[in-house]
Amino acid sequence: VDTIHRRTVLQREYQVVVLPSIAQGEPLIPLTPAVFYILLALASRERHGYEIMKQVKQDSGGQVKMGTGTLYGSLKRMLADGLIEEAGERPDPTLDDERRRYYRLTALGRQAFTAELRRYAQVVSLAGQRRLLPGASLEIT
Amino acid sequence: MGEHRRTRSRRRAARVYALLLRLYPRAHRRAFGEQMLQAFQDHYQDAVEADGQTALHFWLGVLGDEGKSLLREHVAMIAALRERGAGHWRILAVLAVQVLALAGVALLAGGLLAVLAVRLIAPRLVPGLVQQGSDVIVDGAVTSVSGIMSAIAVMLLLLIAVLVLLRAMRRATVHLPQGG
Repeated sequence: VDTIHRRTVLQREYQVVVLPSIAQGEPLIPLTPAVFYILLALASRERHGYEIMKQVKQDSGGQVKMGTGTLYGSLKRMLADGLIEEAGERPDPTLDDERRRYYRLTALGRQAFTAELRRYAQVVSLAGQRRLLPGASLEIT
Repeated sequence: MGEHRRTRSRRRAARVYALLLRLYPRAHRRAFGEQMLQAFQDHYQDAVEADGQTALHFWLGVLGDEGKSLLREHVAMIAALRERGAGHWRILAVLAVQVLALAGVALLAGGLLAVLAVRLIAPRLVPGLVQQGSDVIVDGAVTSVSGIMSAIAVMLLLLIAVLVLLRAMRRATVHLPQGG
């Protein structure tokens, strides 16, 4: 019963949050891999450019390698879309180069990131229902 | 590698990258140039000095990424100019500068590829070349092949750049609002 309830909630969220944004031509969902991994890197704390590059490589298991050019191109577009913003203060000014700029998620960025995670969860749930995930009994919370 | 030599290599790499940054549209360079240089230096230190990646391998990765990124930023700039209703001459001038910039990148990339090809392939084609100490022959080959490959790379990239930019212009024209 609990699983059915959870699935119903997920489906309702997908229909209410994700589908309308796709239907309305909302540019935020689905996110490109670069944008998704940058949001993931910034979801836990604010970071500067090179830290984001390293975190993206680590989080994606080396699948997404972002050079400096790609990173700052993505950051520029994400700033313009209002997904991220520059953090006013550096976490520890005494330990760091003052030329570095730190970035953090905006409320919209967090919202888009959560919506994208829900979309992924929905897809994984669907794949599970159709037994497309070999040997996996997947629990989505 | 000594500390002095490492510092010198790092500074040289930063200077080359700073030159590469000059190929970006001015607005992008002003907003992110300094940060990009800083991130590049961190990346160089980690990849080449700490992880022992060869400079050639590192630069090939950098040039590949910067090439794509440069093209993307210049296409975005042309589209923005069209949207703002800039005149054809202005756009043509911008295009000319962009093509020259891309040719510069192509020269760098072509040269690097040529050095890599000759250093790796020449000793296999002519056995005993390196053992005989015939560095002059290898250097001569590097120079010749660099020239040829650079020229090919320039022509190919120019062609791609012109096609991509023309396509971007056409797309931007289609999206222009009525009377805009």
